[in-house]
Amino acid sequence: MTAQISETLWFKGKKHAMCSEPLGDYFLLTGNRPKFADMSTACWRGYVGEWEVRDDRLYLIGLEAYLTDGEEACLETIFPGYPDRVFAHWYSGTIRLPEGKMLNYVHMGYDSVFERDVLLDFEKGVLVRDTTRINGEATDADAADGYAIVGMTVFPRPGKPDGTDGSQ
Amino acid sequence: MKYVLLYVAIGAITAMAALVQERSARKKHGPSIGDLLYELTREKASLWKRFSHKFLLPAVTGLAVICFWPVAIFLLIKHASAEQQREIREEERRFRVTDENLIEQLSIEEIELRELVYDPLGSVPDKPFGHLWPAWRAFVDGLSADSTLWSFAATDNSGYEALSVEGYICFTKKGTQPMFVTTRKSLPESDI
Repeated sequence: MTAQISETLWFKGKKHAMCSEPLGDYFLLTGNRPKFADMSTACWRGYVGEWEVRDDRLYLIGLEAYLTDGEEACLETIFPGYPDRVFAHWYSGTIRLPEGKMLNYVHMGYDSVFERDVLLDFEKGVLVRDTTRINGEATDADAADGYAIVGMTVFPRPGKPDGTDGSQ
Repeated sequence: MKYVLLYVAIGAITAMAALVQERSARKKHGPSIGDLLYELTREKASLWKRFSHKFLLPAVTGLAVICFWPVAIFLLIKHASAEQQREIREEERRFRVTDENLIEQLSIEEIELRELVYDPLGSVPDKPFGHLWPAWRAFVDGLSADSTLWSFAATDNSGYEALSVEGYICFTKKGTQPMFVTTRKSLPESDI
């Protein structure tokens, strides 16, 4: 397994790495998951979502993915008629936003540990509580700041053996 | 001589039974790790290696079973028993909704009324269950005329983490439990 690229969440006007996958819950509940192409070993889910918490509600506002037929996927691929924003009412759970310097790198999933985790508890898409968990303090001044992964293997885009997007 | 022939005949039958069991297991569980590793290296494998894997190894194995079929029968029975125990354990771990998890009986109309989703930004369909509406309709379309629906809340321990599961379940005369899950949430360890 490889450390995974995070989702992105805009929270209180700031961009965060989000180590949770609320869209995965949607696919489980509906049993309907598009055939995403494998982008890289650091993104086994096949997509990268962009989210926003606005007025205490969780919204999916962007999606980066390709389908196995080479077509680019977007929000409307999953939610027809909603190209810009989708209220994630299906999601109940805790979203984790790692912050601070890295304390321990684990090359698996989202297992790396950082100085702090902002934990956002949602009930049916509505934020009910946010807390911060302190995991420790980095002793290494050169430790990486913020969520990052060390390495991955990138796969060519389906239908484009040289990995280009065909724009040339 | 006839006893030798009888011994070999039983051995041959045992070898065939072992082959059937192996094919059945492969069909059920997919290829083994050894098979997968071989497939990964097959193109680069030498002729001898390919011959060994495809013909020599199965032939030697078959011969061994014929010669030592009492041991083979013991191992086959042991394997079948272990497989049965595994299936029983899996069945026991499978998520089920019991009477204790039921909350109240509801009609489809009552459920749809309570499951309307509101969003001030209009980012959800104005339908029961919002973005889950197509899945709900598919679930309802699969119900029989005499189905009774109940709301439920239960804990699912069948996976690697405990989950709080809520939704609606239909009890049928066949004993099946088609359900529509509306919430799946990881449980804090203190709540388990």
